[in-house]
Amino acid sequence: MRWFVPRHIRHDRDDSGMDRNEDVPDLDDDRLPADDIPPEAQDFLVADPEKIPPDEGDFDAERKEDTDG
Amino acid sequence: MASVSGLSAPHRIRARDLAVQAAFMGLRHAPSLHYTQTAKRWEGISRGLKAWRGEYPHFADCSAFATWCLWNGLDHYGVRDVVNGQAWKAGWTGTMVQHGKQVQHESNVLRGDCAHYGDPVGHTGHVAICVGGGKVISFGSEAGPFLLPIHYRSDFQQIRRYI
Repeated sequence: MRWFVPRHIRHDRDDSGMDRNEDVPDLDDDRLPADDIPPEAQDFLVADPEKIPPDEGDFDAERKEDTDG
Repeated sequence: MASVSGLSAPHRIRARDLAVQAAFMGLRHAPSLHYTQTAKRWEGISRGLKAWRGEYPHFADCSAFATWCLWNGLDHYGVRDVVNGQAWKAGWTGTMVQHGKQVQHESNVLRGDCAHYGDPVGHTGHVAICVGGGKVISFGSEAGPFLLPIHYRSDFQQIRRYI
């Protein structure tokens, strides 16, 4: 499913040696404007945010660990 | 604004690409990504799952998901945990708001920035990752992640930058 990878994602082969994942595949070179999302992703945009379940509150790590089964 | 991550501009662009790729990976695989606040929420990082390899966690919560997305970009360049300051082993909204830098103007929001909502150190804290176009990907419940407008919640607090 290639379509959901933003088309602007690419791998700069001439990155410095800091790039630890040199086998990241090359993708399309036509970068989208920085402030954009893939057109295909628009289908996933929630039209009415009020209809989604409310977000759970985020608790501190210690309390979370207490709930670990 | 000075770079939080210490990365060069080209590497920041690449890191943002990778972080956003991870966010969309989670969105695409929403049915397989389950919400939990147990220790399993950190499996994306602890198991070294990288979105560019087609890998994604099956468990996370809002802060673990946002951190995993950012880790996809930052760990690519060996950046230390500038998101939670917990050596990539833990974190929550309370630690996320203590790290990074606040983006003062919404017009400056970039992909990979994080939107914070509610009280980050209380019981209403929530975080989502910005993916461009004024949208965030938010994983706040079992039904998510969702692609939403940044201001989908009325208790929006701030945008913070970690890359």
